[in-house]
Amino acid sequence: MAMGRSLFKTVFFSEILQGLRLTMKHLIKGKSITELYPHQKPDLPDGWRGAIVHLRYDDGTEKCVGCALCEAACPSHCITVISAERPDLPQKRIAETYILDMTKCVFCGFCVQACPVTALASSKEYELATTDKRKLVMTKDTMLTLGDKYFPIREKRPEYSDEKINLYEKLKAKNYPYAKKGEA
Amino acid sequence: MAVETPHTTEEKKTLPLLRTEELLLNLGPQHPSTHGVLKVILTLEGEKVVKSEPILGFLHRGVEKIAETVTYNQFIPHTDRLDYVCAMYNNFAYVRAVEKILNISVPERAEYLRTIVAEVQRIIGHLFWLGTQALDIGAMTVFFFTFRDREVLLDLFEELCGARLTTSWYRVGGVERDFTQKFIDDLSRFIESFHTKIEEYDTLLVNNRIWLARTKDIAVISGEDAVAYGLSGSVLRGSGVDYDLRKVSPYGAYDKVEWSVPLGTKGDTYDRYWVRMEELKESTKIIRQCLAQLPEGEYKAYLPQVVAPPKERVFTDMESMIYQFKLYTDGFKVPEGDVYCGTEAHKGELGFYIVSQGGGKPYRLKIRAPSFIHMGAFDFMAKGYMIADVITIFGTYDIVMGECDR
Repeated sequence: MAMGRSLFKTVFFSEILQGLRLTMKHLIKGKSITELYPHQKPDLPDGWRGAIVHLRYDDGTEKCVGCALCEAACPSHCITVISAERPDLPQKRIAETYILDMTKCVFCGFCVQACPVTALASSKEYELATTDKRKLVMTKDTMLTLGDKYFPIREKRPEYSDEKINLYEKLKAKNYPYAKKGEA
Repeated sequence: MAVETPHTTEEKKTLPLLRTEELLLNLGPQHPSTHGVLKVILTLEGEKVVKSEPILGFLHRGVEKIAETVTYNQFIPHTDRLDYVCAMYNNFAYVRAVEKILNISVPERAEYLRTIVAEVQRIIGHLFWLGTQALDIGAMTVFFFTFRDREVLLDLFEELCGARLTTSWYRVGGVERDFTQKFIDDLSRFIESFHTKIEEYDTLLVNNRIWLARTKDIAVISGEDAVAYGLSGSVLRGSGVDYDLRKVSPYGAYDKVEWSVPLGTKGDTYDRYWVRMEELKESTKIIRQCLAQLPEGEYKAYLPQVVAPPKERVFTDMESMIYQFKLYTDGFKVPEGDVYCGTEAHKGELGFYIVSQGGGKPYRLKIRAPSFIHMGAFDFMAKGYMIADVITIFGTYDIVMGECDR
């Protein structure tokens, strides 16, 4: 009897029919799981590691202080920072030149984690394909523009820096050559 | 002087009717089923393989040399690119080796998080293997089914660390981000329904006569030979050798949960398939128990000399700020010495050997890639089988050339 059943199964390709039944079930009952990508954009989670962008404070000043820690942290050496003093506030430093070579970037997010002032962030920008390779070498301006696009809510500028600026302005008015501690 | 031709009319009469000789065939490096850029020079006798010589190195990028030029932390994204379908395992094996040479331990919660993600990665790896192996043999539907389920898990990784494949989630001393509630819910939902998915794959394969004919008694390797060739992972366990690093030298939370090591008997391709399918079930068992036991606590050790301090402290605390700068510029100092640490990845034993001369960068870093070791046994296992089986034998190792050539 058992042998007859196995012969029946062998002759009528029962396991193949079972497989076909499964695929037919998916064809009729199953719902589509594919996305029509260019027309239908994927829903990306927060914290997705896309293109690196620069952020601003709420008053529009950029957060970056030009410490070049991102340059040191980058495993693929794609960041170049040249820092300088701010011409209007010599106490403060700023990234005079900031170049991020997107052709080398591996999107690991180490620069974002290294940044001591959260001036950098990973955006959800992923459609980076271009016909001109030079467009992939991002400068600070392009990164700030992208940052404005993806992070419209800006952090408030810390108060203490305003105090220091006030102090600096006051000392400058008094014609002090250098700001000294404890004098105001 | 007249040249004597061998084929004079006299000799031609004595030669056999058909001339037979061994055929040299180059398989790859641009063959779609070699799982990357692998070239094999096959010596064939008719359709039988007499000798096969794998030519490696088409995907060599000098990863081990790069390791000498970057700090220990900076090498983590480079490990993603070794076995690019299962980046989490490479991260895990690497950070374990670094932790061993530093002699530090990670918090209990981090151990559980690491174990859960490693097992999710194992499921992804086995699903990827099953799909491609079935596709190589000719069953296309399985490929779509496994990739459908793999996609769910990759979306979970996207939620967890922000990337699907190049994860870089493990850190020396812990992990980068904690689980979100959404991640835990989605993972539990997947684990609960995963057995129905396994049934689907079984419906398509386990009794399929083409699958059985192509896998049973193909590439048989005995347990002794498998040990002699240094095979590991599912390939070794398919031959019936009970050796699993997760049991032999437990790490993570593997010793705190109950699970068993499936073993094959014969050591053919079908046994290796069976072992991997059983491991999928064991992985779901481990994940379910780990999620139930998941303790509260920190997901990163507080060791400012080694682990970057939390961002909130960096903003408020001068000392943490200094540690942050020191860590990202010079890296942490590793004591002099050398260490080998093997981790049971889904392909086999993935080991990192680190030689330190006491700086922030390794003096030498050697990667024991299971794919590379498995290719050493290729000639032995392919001998005497048909040329069509060569593709099956590539698949049964689950090789990835990014790891093999590194």
